[in-house]
Amino acid sequence: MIPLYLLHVTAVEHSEGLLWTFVTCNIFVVTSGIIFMYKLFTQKKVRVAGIAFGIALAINYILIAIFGDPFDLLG
Amino acid sequence: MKLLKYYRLWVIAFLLKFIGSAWDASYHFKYLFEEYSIPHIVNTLGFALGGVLLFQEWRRSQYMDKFSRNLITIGYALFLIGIPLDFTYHIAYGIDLTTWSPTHFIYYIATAIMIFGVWRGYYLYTRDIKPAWKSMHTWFAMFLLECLMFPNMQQENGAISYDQFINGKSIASQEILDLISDPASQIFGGIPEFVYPIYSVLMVTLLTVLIIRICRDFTIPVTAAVLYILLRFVGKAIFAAVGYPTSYVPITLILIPLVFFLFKKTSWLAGLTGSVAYFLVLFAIHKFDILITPPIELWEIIPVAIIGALVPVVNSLVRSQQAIKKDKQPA
Repeated sequence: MIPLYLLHVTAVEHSEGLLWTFVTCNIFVVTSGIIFMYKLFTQKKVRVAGIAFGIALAINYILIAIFGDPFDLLG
Repeated sequence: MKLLKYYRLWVIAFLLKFIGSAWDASYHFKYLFEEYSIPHIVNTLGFALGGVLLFQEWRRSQYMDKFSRNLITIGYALFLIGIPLDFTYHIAYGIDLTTWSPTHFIYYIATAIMIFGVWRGYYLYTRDIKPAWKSMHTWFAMFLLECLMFPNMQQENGAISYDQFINGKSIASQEILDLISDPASQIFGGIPEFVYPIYSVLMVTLLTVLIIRICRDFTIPVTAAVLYILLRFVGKAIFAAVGYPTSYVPITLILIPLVFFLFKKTSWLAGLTGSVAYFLVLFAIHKFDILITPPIELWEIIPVAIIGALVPVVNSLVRSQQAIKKDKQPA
């Protein structure tokens, strides 16, 4: 599927270091997000999972604001 | 009544998201980058209004049960996860010119969960009243339909943009035109053309059957589809007036819930008739150049008919399994 999508994107130069920094932060946000969402679905206490997810989001969003544009935070 | 006011505010929130996302889809057929991202700001206003309403429920549970509130929160969390993933996707591959990209699908799924959560809350808190088309059920059904149909905007905007492009009348900006090396594929987002009718029939039939099953009402899916088509025409008129790219409005979608309404049951025959009617009218519009539609081929009627007939069958099987389990439970 991915090569199919690659035909429809702009080929831009990027730093591999920056990419892997973001991928690492993304893994953190996805993992903490899955735990948070699972606890919400099973209606367990979500305070700790919610705080961890909030921290992961904050790290990701600060990086986006620094290396991208604040408007990128709008999705 | 405070309860209705609360859910009316949710309708406004989703309407802002609808306007922002439709504007964004049209925008990117003309411009690549945006300086102030106005369509995204409109979308975010809807997201923020919903966030305030959700926060209110977390502070003091008043208008919905806790599971519905948690479902909406899951939708919000998933949407917020989608933003950094989409950003990374853009770093790796650049700006994607398709609604069908994997990270964009996170947004659609997240929004669908939000709508479902709000609708569930409304459904449970108004359960003493039989769901009717004159209630907010029609709005929530319409928002869910819009969310499911959103990826098709690539084909529906693309059909008109492609026609303008090959006739040398493109209104796209130079930076978009510079990127186009394979117009037939790029403008339609890299998706094979058979996906459009098959995806439409699968989603609309599934949504129709589920609404009828849950709400026990045949009119809500019809009025939701009418409302959706009406709002798409309003959007098209505004975009045409301000020189933005317009889209084909999928008018034939209405035939699917309409046939279920006329049959008054969710049988395989109703599903088959509705999906075949949807496809044949769309094909006629395309074949006789009545309107510019996404490209389709006649053979696609086969998978369309099979899916249209299968969805009600699967729905009835799931119902039977649940009934069997219930019967086996000790009294």
